[in-house]
Amino acid sequence: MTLFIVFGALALGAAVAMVFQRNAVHAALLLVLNLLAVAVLFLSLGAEFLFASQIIVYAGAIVVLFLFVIMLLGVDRSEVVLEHTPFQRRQIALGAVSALVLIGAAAPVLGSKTLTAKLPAIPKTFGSAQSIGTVLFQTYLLPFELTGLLLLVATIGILMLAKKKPR
Amino acid sequence: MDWLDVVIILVKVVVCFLLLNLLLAVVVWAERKVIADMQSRIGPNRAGPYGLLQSIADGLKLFTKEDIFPLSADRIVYPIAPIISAVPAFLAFTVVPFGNMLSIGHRHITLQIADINVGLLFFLAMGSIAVYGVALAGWSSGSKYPLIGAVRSSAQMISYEIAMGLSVIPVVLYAGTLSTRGIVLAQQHMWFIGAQIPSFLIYLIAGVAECNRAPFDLPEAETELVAGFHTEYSGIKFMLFFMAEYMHIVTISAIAVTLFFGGWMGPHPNFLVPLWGVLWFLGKTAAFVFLFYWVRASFPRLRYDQLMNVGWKFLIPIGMAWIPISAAVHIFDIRRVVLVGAGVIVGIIVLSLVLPTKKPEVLTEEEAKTTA
Amino acid sequence: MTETHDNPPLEGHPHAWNEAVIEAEAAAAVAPRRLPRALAAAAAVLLVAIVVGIVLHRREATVGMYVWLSMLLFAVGAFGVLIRRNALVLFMCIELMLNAANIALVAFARGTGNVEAHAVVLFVMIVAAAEVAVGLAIIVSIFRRRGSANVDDLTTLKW
Repeated sequence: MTLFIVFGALALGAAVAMVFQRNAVHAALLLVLNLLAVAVLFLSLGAEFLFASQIIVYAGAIVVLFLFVIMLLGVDRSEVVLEHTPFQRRQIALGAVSALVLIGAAAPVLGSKTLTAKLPAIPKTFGSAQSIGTVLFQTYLLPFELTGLLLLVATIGILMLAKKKPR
Repeated sequence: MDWLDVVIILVKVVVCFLLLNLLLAVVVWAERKVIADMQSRIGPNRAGPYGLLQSIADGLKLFTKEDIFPLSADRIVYPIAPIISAVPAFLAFTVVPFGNMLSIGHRHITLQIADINVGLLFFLAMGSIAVYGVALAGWSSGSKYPLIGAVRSSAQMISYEIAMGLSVIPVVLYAGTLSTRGIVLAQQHMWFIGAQIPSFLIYLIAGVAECNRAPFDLPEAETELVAGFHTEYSGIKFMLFFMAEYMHIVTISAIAVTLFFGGWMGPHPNFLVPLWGVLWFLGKTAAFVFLFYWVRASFPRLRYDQLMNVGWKFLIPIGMAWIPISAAVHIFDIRRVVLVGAGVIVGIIVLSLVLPTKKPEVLTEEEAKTTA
Repeated sequence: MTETHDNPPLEGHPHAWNEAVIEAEAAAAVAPRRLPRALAAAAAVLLVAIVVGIVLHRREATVGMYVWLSMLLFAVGAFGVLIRRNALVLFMCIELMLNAANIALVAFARGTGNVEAHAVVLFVMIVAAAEVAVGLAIIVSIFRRRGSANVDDLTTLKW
C-alpha cells in the first residue's frame, strides 16, 4: 500500500508537471520519472520481468530517442526546446469534459467485486521471465512474430525517411 | 521478514557502499600506476608510499575546488546530471553476487545485496539509465563541445547496449535463469567461458564501449572535444562523473566474472569458506579491471564511423548468429566439444574483424568529392 | 530592446521573428514566470496524494486503486495531447497514455492471477517503440522541410 501511494503520487505528479512543462527536455525528464515510478508499481504488482523491460525499453530506449531528437532539432531552433506560444486554452474545457466522460463511463465497473476485492495470493513464478515466455511462445506465438515483423517494417521505414534525397 | 532481516540488508548496503568507494580509490590509483608503467613513466609517487594516497588527495582537492556554474547552463538539469550518472552506476552493483553464503547461527546471509529474479535484466536496465547522465550533462552545459560529446555517447551507448544484451542471451540459455546468483551456481562443473568464447568477446568489447573507455572513448576524446560531455563540470560534480566511470568499470568486470568465470567459485581450503569466495571474486574482478587498463594503453582511439561499424556490422550480427548456434547445441545435446571448437573459430573471426589490421582507406579524388 | 519592430505577433508566424529577440524574451520573461506553473501543478497533485494516502493508508491495495491511477494518468495524457502544440511533447503525452493502459493491464493480471496480460503489455511496449521511432523520423523530416516542430504550422492541407 505504501508503495502504491508513494509511487502512484510520484507518477501522477510527474505526469501533470510534464503536461504543463514548457521546456521539452525537462518534460522528457519528467516523463522518465513517471515511467520509472510506473516500473516500481509493476514491481509492486508482482511483474518483475515487466519492471525490467519497462526500464530498458521505455526509459532506456524510447525517451533517449526523444532527448536525442530534441537536442538535435534544438540546436537549430530554440523554440523546439523552449515553447513560448501559449497552450491551446480553448481545448482545456474539452479536455476536462472528456476526462469526466471517461471516468463516468468507467464508474459502473469500478464498483464491481473483482476490483474492490483483496488481491489474491499468487504463485511464486508469477511475472517471472519463464511464465511470460511460456505464454508468449505458446498462446501468443503468431502475435509475437507479427510484432517482430512490425519492428522490421519500422526499421525499414525509418531508413527510408532518413535517407538523404538525391539532388 | 523480521526486523533483523532489515538490519542485515541495511548493513550490507552501507558496508558495500563504503567498501566500493574505497575500492574506487584503489582502482584509480592502480590505473595511474599501471598505465605509467606501460608508458615508462613513474606515475603518482608523492602522496603516501608509492603514491597510494593519491586518489584520496585528489578527492579532497575536488571537494574543495570552486564549483563553476556556466551562465548558459540549464538551471535544473545541469546540477542533477552528475547524480543521474552516478546513481545507476552504483545501483547496478546491487545484483552482483560477490560471495556465496555466510551462515551465522541459523541465519543464512547471501553475499549479494539483492538476489532478484531478473538480476541480469536489472544490470542491463541500469546500463541504459546511465545514458541519461551523459546525454543530459552534455545538453545542459549549454556549449558546443559537450553537446557533440553527448550526442556521440548516447548513440554509442545505445548501439553497444544491443550487442551486450545479445551477448548475455546464450549464457542465460545455458543457466536457465536470469538471476545472477543462479547463473554462478549453474557454473559449478564448467565455467561458461569454455563454451561461450564469442559471447565473452562481444560482451567484453561492448563493455569497454559502454564505459566510454579507450579505444572507444569518443565522447570525451581530448584531441577533438576538449573533454566531451563533462567539459563544463568542475569540483564535486566532476568527481561524480569520474566515480561513475570507474564504478562502471568495476561493475562490468564483476558481471563478466559472474557470467563467464564462475563468480566466487574456485579451489579453496576448508576453513573460512565464505571469505575465500569473496577473495576469488575480488581477484578475478581485479584481473578484468587490469584488462581495461591494458586495453587503454594498447589501442589507439577509433574513428566515429569505425566505432559504429564495429558495433552494428560485426558485433550485433555475430551475436545474433551465435545465439541459435548455442541454442541448437544446448537442445540437441551435441557434445560441448563441438561448441568449444566453433567458439574458438568464431572468436578468432571476431578478433580479426575488430582489431585494426586494415590500412587506412585512401579515398580517390572522385570519392572524396562525393562524400564532401 | 526595440519595442517598435513590425513583426507580427507570435501566433502562427514563428519565422518572421527575430530569433535573438525570441530567445532573449523567452529567457527573460517566459522562463521564470512559467516554470512555477509546472511545479505548482505537481505540488497540488502531491498534496492531494498525501490526503488520499492518509485516508487510504489502513486499507490494503486493491485492483480498483490501480485502475483509478491508470485512468487519471490516461486523462492527464489525453489532456496534454489536447493543449500542447509542440509535436515532440504531444508524442510524449501519447506515451503517457499507452503507459497508463499498461498499469491497468498489469493490475488486472495481478487480480486474476493470469500472466497473459503481461504478454499483452510486452506487445504494447514493442508497438510503442516502433511507433515512437517512426513518429520521430516523420517529425524530423517535417522539421527539415518546414523548419518547425509546432503542429499549428502544419496547415498545408487547409484552404
